[in-house]
Amino acid sequence: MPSAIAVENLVKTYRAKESSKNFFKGVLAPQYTTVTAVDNVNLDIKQGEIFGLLGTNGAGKTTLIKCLTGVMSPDSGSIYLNNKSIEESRHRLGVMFSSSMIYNRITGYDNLKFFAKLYGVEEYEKRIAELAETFEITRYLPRLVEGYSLGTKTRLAFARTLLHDPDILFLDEPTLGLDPYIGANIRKVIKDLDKTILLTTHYMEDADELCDRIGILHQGKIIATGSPEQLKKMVKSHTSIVIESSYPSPQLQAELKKAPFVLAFYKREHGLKILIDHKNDLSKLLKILARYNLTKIDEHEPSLEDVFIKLTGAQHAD
Amino acid sequence: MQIKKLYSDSLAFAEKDLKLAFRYKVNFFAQTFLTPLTTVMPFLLVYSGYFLLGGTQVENLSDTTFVTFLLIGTIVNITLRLGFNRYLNKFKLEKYWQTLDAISITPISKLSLILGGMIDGLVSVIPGIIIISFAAYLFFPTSLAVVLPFVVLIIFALIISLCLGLIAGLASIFNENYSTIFQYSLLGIVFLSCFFYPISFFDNHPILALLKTIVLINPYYHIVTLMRGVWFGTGFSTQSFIFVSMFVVAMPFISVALFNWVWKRFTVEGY
Repeated sequence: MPSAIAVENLVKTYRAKESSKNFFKGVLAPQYTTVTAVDNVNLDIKQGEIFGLLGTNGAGKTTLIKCLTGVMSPDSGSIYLNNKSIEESRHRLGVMFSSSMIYNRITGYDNLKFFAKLYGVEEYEKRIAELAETFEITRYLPRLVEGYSLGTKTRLAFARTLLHDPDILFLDEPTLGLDPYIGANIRKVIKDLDKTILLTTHYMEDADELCDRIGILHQGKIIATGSPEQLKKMVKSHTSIVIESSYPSPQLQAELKKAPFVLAFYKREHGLKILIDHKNDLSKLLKILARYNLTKIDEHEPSLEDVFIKLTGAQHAD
Repeated sequence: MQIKKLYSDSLAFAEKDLKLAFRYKVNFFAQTFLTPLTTVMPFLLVYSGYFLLGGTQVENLSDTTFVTFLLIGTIVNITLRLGFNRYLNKFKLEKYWQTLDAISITPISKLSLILGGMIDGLVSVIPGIIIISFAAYLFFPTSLAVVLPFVVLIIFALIISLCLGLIAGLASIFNENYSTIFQYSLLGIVFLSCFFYPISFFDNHPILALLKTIVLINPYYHIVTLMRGVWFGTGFSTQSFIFVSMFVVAMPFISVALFNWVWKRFTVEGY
């Protein structure tokens, strides 16, 4: 299948100001550091493929999308979209950065009308009505966006992205912070689109459900790519334990860090998720856990989340 | 086809920007009209006091011409401020809404940003300009033939200020320090445009004489002088008109080229 997004050796660095403990030094002689947000990234996404980019906060997902869409210029590397330069394919791209890229002080309808005109959408009123129905936002369109809920704003942002029926979609955290109903609505639209899509998300379930292939981005580098099934095979021999406690104590986290059979652990809403090397190590882990006041301990089938935890070496429990 | 698209994009920008500007109407009217009026007020009081106390002439100004002289200066001042502040204020908001990112990936010519700004700028300033022009007419009646050159010169002033505003606005989104610097530089432009005093004031001191050199290459000085010349019937300098026209033609291309270059080259700071 022909390539839709071809990226070679992409690098993007930026200058970040560092805070100083000394107020006057910070103001008068600020220190800067160079951050490599995208570090030699190579991608080959086929036409019609949904490619998910997983990464922790600050992994470089948004910067990568900004480079791929021409919002930012990379320091080096090449990008081809449907075998054309970004400039040549600009009118066929759809870009959504979560719930932003929307004018808050005008109505939803005015937002859609404005962008429809810039993209030269003919019969834009009909197109806006279609998209409003798809995203169930028809009744909100005459209102000012500043009064919208996050869910409505995100759906409006998605509708804006689809106005000109783009060939390639870049969706940055399209389901971030949404309730289950709206999240499901967005996922359904993504699945039904039948377009080349590059999406970033924190939600492993979304990636698992939507993506044909997934790339894991860590500190600006793609450290693994494959279908969800291929990636899950990487942790097939491991065991995943979810513990619940009102507050995972620092001592427990320190013990887990030292334990050689603990591959990684990750903070969840009410506890921790711990990935251990092998089921045989379970008894050793239980011995540690028994010393702490936990409300629940569950064993789980390894999932995409475990792949992510293992590959990024996440120890985000603090 | 390209021109049709440019026109349609410009109209889209104008419509959107007018709606955004009128969301908070008091703020808009205060920035556009009250600030210039408060700027002209001290000059109005000083000149009035001088003439009421028996003064007859300030350089080439008399008690019958000084109000109209100041009001014409105010018209150009309003136009300058509106164009200059248009992007400076708007881009700061758009930076956080990330709508500039959205616009940067649409298939448009950035010239439509300026043309759109010109259309919505004209719509915004026309009511104020009509009122001020009417007041100027009451103090010094003139021929209706001034309307056309007046409108042309106001459009010229607006185009130049929008181009300056585009550069200032762009610099400000990359580093908000520039926003303050540009706000104060606007005062400098106003001071060096002779909106409220004759250029001959600059002949009275060696330092001011140095500044006069800058005044003479300032297109706003030429615009306001041309407008006054037309109104008072004291002449129309073709040389000044050509000088201003050169700015009007060159500035949009320079500012758009700068916009495109800076946008790609630098990283937006602060969000």
